[in-house]
Amino acid sequence: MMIPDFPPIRVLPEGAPERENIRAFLDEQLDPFSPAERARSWSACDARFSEELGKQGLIGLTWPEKFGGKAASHLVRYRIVEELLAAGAPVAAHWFADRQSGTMLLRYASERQKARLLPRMAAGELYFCIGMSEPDSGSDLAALRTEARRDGEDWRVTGSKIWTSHAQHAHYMIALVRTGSDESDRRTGLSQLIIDLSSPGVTIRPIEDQTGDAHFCEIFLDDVLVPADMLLGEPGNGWAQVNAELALERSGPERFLSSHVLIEEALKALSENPSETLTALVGHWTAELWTLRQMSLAVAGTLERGGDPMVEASIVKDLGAQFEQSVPRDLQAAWDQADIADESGELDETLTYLVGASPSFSLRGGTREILRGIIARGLGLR
Amino acid sequence: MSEHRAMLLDMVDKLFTKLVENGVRDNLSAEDFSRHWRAIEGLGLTRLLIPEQAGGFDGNWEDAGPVFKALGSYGITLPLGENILAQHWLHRLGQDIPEGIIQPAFAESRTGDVLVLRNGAGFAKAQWIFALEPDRWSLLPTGNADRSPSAKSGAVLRCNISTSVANGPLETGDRAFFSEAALMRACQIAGATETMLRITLGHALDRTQFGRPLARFQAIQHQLAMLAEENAAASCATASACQAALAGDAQFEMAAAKFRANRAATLAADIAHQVHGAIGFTREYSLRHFSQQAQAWAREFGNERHWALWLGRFALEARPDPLWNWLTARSDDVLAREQRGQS
Repeated sequence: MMIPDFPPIRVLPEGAPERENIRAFLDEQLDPFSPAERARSWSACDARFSEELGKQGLIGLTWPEKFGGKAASHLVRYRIVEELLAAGAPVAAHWFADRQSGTMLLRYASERQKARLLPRMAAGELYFCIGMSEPDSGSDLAALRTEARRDGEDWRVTGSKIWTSHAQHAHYMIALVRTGSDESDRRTGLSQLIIDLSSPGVTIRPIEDQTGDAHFCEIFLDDVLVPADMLLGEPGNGWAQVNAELALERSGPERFLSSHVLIEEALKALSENPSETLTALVGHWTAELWTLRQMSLAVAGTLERGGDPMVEASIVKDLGAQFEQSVPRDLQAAWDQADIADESGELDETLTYLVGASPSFSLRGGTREILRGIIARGLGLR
Repeated sequence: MSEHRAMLLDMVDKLFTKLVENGVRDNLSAEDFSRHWRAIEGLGLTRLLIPEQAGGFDGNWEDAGPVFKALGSYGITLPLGENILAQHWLHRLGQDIPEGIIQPAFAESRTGDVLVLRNGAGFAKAQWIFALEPDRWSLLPTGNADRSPSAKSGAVLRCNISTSVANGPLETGDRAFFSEAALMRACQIAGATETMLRITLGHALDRTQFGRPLARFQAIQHQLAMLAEENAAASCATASACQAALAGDAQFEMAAAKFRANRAATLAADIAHQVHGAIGFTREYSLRHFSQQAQAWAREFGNERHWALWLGRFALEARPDPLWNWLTARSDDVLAREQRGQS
């Protein structure tokens, strides 16, 4: 029986920029953004901001220097990323390239593709998106049907992907596709391809979400030509590769900071001595935020030491999503005009946005139910 | 983990295993209680936080945390944690440690020389009271105390301060002790939630209904995942607070850890009992030692309301500094101090 383990982090990120320098940069950059805009953070694309961040050398930090990185540790990246998210920076354009696609390329791409793509990703000019879900294959990822068949050495891809965030802005998609078939195990015969989204046969249609934003997309692939060296890793090894990729996206600070801008704005708007209800709510937030950050840092420490904290990462994401969802809900429930000064209406606007956006927090990147299944497997129950 | 700490925890595991075999969780007669207590004292565990040159174990908060947690995971309610803290404080206050069990207690009121103290049922077994007023401490023999007739199970004591064998000003204030005691309880809760998780996992794998083990039902799997999440939160919060306590001022981290552990106590107990069905509700079955005790510990040294208000005021008073800035500064500071300490 394995009890999930969260040993406290013991080290500061070596050679990381000082927080005050990151904050000074962000204060300047984010000045024109309203709180409700900042609350969108890693759901908001801003090419100018991503390029500026690239110029500062803050994208692809962990990648080797020859590919535009800084060969920094994951803990250095963690510090930068948590500062970006806490401030509500619009990071979505380069987010997926920085968080996972770059790492996937480093692990599995040809040297030629690494040299061609990574430096522009690190510059904040080249964006990636994730092609996993399909119309009939959501949580049940292995049911996917998009097919790649050989065309000489190259591949021809036909099918469709859905719920892909920011595909309309992205230049490339790492897609999980079927390259072989095995009736007995759906997980074999899957491969990952890097698809150039400007290729003939690619159609991208944004889908408006319930808040009125349109960040996720449907992508139609009609006999799209993918050159041979755009295969990522081994043919047939896609399932294992994708699971390693998912581990990269489940324990980071984006899993508990999605409502952080609302917390800071609420603190600004609260009166000198608010009601006990509101004071206790603030106390509750600080305790949860501190605990989740400690848990997430513990997972980052395990990753840095080369461990495989799949179960722990799922725990952070599930607890983190519950917290992020509770923040707007509980503020709405405790709202008291006598204690909250919001003449501009900006706090109300931020709250309204997050009440609408928060259902997605426990859906994206693995639903609550999928995560609990992973945890149960780790506990030896399945 | 240091070799010193590994040895300590190994010793504690062996001792607690033996105490449980000898019935330490049962209703204890005065004689049984003394026998178990002598076993603990014989190993010097009550002197855990006293320096070596003063005859102690020379431990720190990261040694004490796992010992407190082990009390919780073995379901042991003997006042070891209380005595470790009381001895630690008496030593820091320049006081010789008396023989016998010390019960820390907070003064509810003071009229002339008479202190009214309230602190659970611990007075019955103690020879000494380490009484804390907001700005004073005193060490009082329990023999001269007046047990209030209205009090249930000796929960309230009246003590005349003139009977104290030692007393003095408390420069740190009594809240500093309250916070440390809260972290001790939080660690105990984290131990109890871990055992609740282990027992409940074992039950779900063993118990068969509808022709398959409970563990095969998705509804049960998800309940157990949530129990594991609560245990993880309590465990990480308490370990992190002990780490912060070792580095310096940790009143915030102690408060946050107690708040989070309290929440875990009730959520974990709910799930553990639900998965066990009627079996877990019997007196014979061991779950109650952990589920009920965790919730009793959650009431002591600050419930959720107490700590939520304390933390809320802490965050509000820190304005206009953003919450994020001081929270990260505190944690960076803990790591910087730890790295300096190691180098």
